[in-house]
Amino acid sequence: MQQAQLDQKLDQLEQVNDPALLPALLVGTSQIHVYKLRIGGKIRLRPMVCRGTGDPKLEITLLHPAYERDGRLDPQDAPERAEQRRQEILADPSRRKRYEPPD
Amino acid sequence: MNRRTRLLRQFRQKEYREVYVDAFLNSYIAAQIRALREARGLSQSGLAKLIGTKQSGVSKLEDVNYSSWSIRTLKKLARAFEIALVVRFVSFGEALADIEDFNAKALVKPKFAEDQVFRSAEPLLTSVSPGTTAQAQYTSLHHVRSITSRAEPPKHYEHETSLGATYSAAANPLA
Repeated sequence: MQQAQLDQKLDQLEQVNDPALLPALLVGTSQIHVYKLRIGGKIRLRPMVCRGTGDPKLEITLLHPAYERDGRLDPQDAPERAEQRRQEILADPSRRKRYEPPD
Repeated sequence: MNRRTRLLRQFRQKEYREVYVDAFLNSYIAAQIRALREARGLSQSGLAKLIGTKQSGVSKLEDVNYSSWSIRTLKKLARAFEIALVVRFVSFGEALADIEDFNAKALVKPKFAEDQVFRSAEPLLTSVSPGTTAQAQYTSLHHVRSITSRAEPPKHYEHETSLGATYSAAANPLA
């Protein structure tokens, strides 16, 4: 039930307003502004996120889906794709919308 | 839709609520260990020494996705942080309340020496001398209990009082 795991982590991030309080939840990638959101479970979800792009203290943006298996990201270039999307959002903030978990 | 309404809806699915609550527990414990360690001014290595493990072991315990901790380890951590560990089963409704109340401030708990419950009760407790009669000590204890918990004294105090027993300070159940 990956949706429940994802929702839980996003809820908690929203509640604390400080990812540092949730150790090892956001981990850096090859792209300086892109983090992988570590979500446990049999299939390891690693959505690519960034802080902001509005207020970096209060917002996180989900940029690109990804999984991790045996220490390898799938897709392998997920951080680069995420960075590309981040640039697109910076250029056109209207492309971003508030995340609503599906029912 | 706010978080509570969403979770009330989604928790109707058995698997969803089980997975969500499990993930919350893992995150909560990791975050609390980290917050308590930092509040005590301890490094991961420093805490590791106190609980008899390695720095990498503490690092694992502070991982929000780690789920293999044991009650034994948590008890060691409680001793190191000078706080109590309480483990209990609760309804999903109670779990939801904990989820909603999650915040950074709530994670840090005072060590015994800084615990306001005991600090505020100290003058009353130190005024009880050894050999005080049961009635007098009962009154003192009742006073303390009413300050700390606002609860009625348990029945056994009344019973022991009626027997005219004498407590010593060492036998003080709150000491």
